[in-house]
Amino acid sequence: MSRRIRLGWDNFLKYIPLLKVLVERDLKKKYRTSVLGYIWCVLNPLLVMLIMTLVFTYMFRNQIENFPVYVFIGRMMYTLLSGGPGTVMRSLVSNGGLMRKTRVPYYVFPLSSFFCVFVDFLFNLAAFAIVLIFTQAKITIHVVAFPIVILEAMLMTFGLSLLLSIAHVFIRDVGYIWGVFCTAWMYLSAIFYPLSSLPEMVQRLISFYNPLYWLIDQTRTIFLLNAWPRYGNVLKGFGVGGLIFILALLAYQSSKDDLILYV
Amino acid sequence: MDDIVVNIQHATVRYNLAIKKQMGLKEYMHALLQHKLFYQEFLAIQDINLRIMRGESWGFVGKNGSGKSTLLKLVTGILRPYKGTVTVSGSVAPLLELGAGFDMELTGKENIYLNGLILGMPKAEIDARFDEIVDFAELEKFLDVPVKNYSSGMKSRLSFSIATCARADILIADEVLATGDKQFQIKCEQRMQKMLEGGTTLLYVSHSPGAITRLCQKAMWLDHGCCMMQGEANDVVEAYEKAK
Repeated sequence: MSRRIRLGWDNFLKYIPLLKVLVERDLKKKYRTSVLGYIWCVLNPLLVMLIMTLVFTYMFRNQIENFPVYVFIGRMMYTLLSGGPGTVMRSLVSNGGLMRKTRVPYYVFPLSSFFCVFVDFLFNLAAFAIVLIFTQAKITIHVVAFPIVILEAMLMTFGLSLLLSIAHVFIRDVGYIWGVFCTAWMYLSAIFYPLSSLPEMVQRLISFYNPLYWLIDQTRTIFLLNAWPRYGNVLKGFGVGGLIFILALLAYQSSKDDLILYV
Repeated sequence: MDDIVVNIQHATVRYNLAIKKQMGLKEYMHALLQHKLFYQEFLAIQDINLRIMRGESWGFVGKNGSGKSTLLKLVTGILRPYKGTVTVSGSVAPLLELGAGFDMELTGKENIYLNGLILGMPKAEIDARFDEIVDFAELEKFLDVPVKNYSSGMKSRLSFSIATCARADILIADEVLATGDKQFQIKCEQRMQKMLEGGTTLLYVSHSPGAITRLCQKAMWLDHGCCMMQGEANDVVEAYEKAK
């Protein structure tokens, strides 16, 4: 068993340069044809945040303090957890030609696609920093807890991405189902409204069972309340993230020989 | 001498035609309930035995759909046998389709790296062989042009050049020279000839009997997934031509 893991690991190391080239390829293809190129990665989240702030400040008159930061955090996490798997999911099917004609371990495709999502997230963070500076948000020592929240988010995103890319190979409807699910998820994650505006029952459900909300809540606690994220939320985040991650690895292990027949 | 590089024993490959078809959730549930899901199966190759020694060159002949490509995919490791065993020792450079590892949006230069890495070449080796690859493909002037603008001849030259520069122990070529012009075909045959002299093992599919007899010592004739005959290339090709 340990020998098999060693062999798998050696094989993985061998394909790291390929991973790098695949990530570069995806990033290049995404932005090569636009005039502003990579600037869009930072500009896009800023513009969306601006619109949402305008809409919810002047049209819906919310009372949330520093709304730009509030909504940016919600959107950033939502984009990662919904858009990430949504993008990565298609990587196996869209690289079907390579899978059928060459011999590369299949996981390189979801993995490289996930790295692209990660790079996008980094650009989002840059935009986030700009928002923090512009709104003169108070930055305290609690910021050091933020990487932990990011790690939780990455664990969940990667697990979901791998699980969904496998499911997508067998049943293509998964793409549409995910889209619908994410719409519901967005409204259930208190991205642009305060959780307290909901009935108490719903509030409890969301803060208990919605992993996306845990991430958003932890991040807001750090940047808006200037406090440490709640211990329970961190623990739950890693628990669920780890569970999804392990499930995804198991699903890959048990289905990898069949993938080729369905892509 | 115990130098078997490819050993295939009683290999059968099964495709599931019903599943291979693109299916939505509704059809899937429907088929599942009616137990139709595992209905239509298709044996792409049946009970094939093949033993290839180091440095040998094998040609594969047969009509379209006779299982030649499936057999090569089995050796490459892309497919696994449904029954039987396949053991391959040594590195394999598959050339199963022209431009298989290419991304049409990327330039020739970028594709050389992408394709080389897919073939399992270390990056340093691609760097070292870069000029050789470009020289052989005769594409010096087109390195920064996206591959989508290449002619099919150019793509095939680049594909062939990368795969043969990978210096794998086993080269697998599936009907790859059909698009190149005569001059390039000759050049390719010369290169394969040279690789054979260097100890590379060659598995070669072609519809041109001449190319098979020129390049290969041994050959196998497949029909409907079954081996009709294997042995000396001249004999097999002759028998196949007669049967046509």
